[in-house]
Amino acid sequence: MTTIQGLYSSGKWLISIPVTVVFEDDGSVRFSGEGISSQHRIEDIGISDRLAEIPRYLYLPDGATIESPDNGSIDAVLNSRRRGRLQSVIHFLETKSAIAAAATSAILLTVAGTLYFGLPGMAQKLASRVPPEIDKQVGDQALEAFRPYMDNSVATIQARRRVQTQLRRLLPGVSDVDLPRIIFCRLGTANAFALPGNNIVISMEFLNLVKHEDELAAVLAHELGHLKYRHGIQNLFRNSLALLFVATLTGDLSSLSRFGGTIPLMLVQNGYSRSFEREADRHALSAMIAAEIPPRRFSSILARMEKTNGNTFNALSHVSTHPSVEERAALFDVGDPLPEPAPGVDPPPASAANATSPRTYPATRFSSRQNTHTTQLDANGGVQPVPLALTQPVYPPELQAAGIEGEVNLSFIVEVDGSVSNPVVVSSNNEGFNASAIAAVSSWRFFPGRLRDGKPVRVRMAVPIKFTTSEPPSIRPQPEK
Amino acid sequence: MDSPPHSAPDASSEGGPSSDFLNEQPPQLPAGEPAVSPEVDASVPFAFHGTAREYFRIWIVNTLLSLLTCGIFFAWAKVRKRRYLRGSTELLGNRFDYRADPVRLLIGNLIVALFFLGYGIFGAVYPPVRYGTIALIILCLPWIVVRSLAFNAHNTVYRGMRFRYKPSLAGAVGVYLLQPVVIVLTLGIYYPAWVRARQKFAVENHRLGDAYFRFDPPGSNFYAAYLLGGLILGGITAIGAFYLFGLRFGLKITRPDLLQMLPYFALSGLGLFIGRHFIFASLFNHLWNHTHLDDHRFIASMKVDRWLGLQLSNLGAIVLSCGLLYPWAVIRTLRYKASCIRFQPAGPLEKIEYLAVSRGNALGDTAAEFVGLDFGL
Repeated sequence: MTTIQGLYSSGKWLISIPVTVVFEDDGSVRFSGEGISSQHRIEDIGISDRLAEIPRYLYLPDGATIESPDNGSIDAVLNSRRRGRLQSVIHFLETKSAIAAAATSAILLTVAGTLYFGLPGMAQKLASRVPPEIDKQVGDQALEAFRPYMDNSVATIQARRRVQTQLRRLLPGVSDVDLPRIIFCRLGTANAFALPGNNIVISMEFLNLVKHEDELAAVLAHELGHLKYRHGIQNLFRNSLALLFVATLTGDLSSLSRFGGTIPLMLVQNGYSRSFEREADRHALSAMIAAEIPPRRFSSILARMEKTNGNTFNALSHVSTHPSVEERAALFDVGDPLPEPAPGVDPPPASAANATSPRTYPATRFSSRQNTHTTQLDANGGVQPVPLALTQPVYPPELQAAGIEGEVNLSFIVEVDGSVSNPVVVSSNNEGFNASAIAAVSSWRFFPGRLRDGKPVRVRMAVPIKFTTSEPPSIRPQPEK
Repeated sequence: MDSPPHSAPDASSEGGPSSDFLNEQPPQLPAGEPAVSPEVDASVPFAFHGTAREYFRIWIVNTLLSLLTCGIFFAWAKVRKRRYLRGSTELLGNRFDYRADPVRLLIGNLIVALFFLGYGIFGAVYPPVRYGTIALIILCLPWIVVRSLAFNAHNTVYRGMRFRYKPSLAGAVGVYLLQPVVIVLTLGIYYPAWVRARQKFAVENHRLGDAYFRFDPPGSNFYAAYLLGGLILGGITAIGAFYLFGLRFGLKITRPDLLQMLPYFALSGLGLFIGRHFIFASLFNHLWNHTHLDDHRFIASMKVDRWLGLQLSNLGAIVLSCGLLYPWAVIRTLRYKASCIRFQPAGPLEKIEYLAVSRGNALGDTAAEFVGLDFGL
């Protein structure tokens, strides 16, 4: 027999009457108080679970309740009736400090494990099952954000040619239709990134930074890594899963919208972004080695981008989306050191890409001969290159409107496949025409120059391009003497 | 497993004025303010008996069990945590009870989780899905709010009697869909009045037995609180803007990177945090002092500076402890809140009588929590 004290509420009126409850060993329960007494079978009475030291409730069949703080006695009664075993296990776990400590470490471990291994693994599996059409859809959506910044000026014609050349180096045997789509933007910072659906966005500011075409190839190799591992789609899965996981952990989703709740989520998502960068870096390294590009080219362009964009994030590598430049450069610290820039090294045609700030490529900078191995066909008596398609340059609208005329003398090489490379400004009486002239020349096509035995050779040509407001200027490229 | 009887007691078993709950209107109060009884001695405190130590252990064990069961135990964990907090709150010798059925919460959780996973992933592929979902949420908002209030009220019990929430969907449509349009049209001037209307809607549809909750604060205090809160936010944001100007014109940094922007973001976040809690604390007394349960009254005496100090130290402790001190923050917040409210009975509570109604829906409860609705009641 067990006796407890409690407060009786009828459920019909908001009353609270002190009662004494007696649990008999045979299973009958009697209670009595001022003006009340009743008897029930214990099987008919619901008893609330033990929870710390908060009072228990006896739920009587007629809707009345008895509230009692005497947890110990009620537990003893339930125990003798073999009831509430499962609940008592949870209560037991909740009362022991050692278990709380163990649970704390278990949670920290589980959270770390899930965030570092569980979710990324799951995201990868899910991403590999997403059909390419979905990839393309996601990419197209992401591209919409860049539409206002897209650059379709003539300068991109030359830029596109350069990028395509490097892509073919990195992806030999891939047909042109399968090469990534290149989108040029003016973003104000030197940057390049991959978007799902085989898209690579390149900022013109980045192209201006490139001092060696290998550097362009290096960055492209990194972006191809993002595309290969479908990081865009994986990121989507990872972030959605992380949101759900953190929500489960914090107990309610609304806390995520609060000031403190967003911080852990931000840290997790940054960490993911950094792991993707590392994977893309590793892909770039192997791709560069395969294409016989010195890996250090990656470090050199990275360092220059960092310098230009002015990132001071090295000290705060944990909160940055990218690992620190030093850390990334270390990975590419293999192979021979890079040669010092010498007259024999390819020129920086990058500057041709920038049409809005012609100051960046003064004509004198390019006046010396930069490329070797062209052939003087006059002396050898071969066939000069024959122009097949000569695009008229675009008259810069602001100069045309002002009635300014000008002449740009260009030098360029006709390659053995008839395309134009390395166009440089020899002289110019107005820098505003340079970009347009270079862009036009870059798109020209020739029947390549040949030796007497018919072997095609590279030939350096020169052309004056006149911008006149009266009549369309005539274009006559000549072999350079 | 011992579980409380979730069904409401049979309506036929009592002969009170119960049958026409949905259409019944509260009787009009006698004109004018009810005479504020000067004898403060008559008021009784809300006592909060929870301890951070107990709550931490409950919180950590249940969180671990949720994790180990892939989130399935989550619903049970939530019920246990709420039961602890309600069961630690005492008024006139009796504690509050929370009787929600975890299975209903689980179903609600699963639907919401699926919904948002689909939103996050499908929305990225087909943006129309995302816009459609947002439109759907907005349209469903009144229903979600009403259901969630009803679910919470139904499962909160005092002296064996459940609280009730009269599910007025038409009222919710007015408050949550139509009045926001007015806010936009008045360029936000209507906002404090809308907060009052929202609060009134939440409070006045609640009942305990046959007793009505009433809410009649003048709107001017809402405007004063929001004006001051806005000034605080504006002041702190102005410091941030000043900092940006300093970067731009003092140090000639035209395009600051994220690290240099950090003080600005931190100040903005802090400004929002302080502004929000300032408004909450300055309205708290006002809300409770104008809330009645029939003729019984509430007397609130929260101090704005103490509340701000409490919330700022909570934020710091939670961030520094990686969230482990969250239960501690919950307990000290509730303890302070309870210590700020007193109940002043106008007569014996025993006169309040039982009424029968329908139950709330767990999906609404979970969905409302997701949307972040917190009525602070």
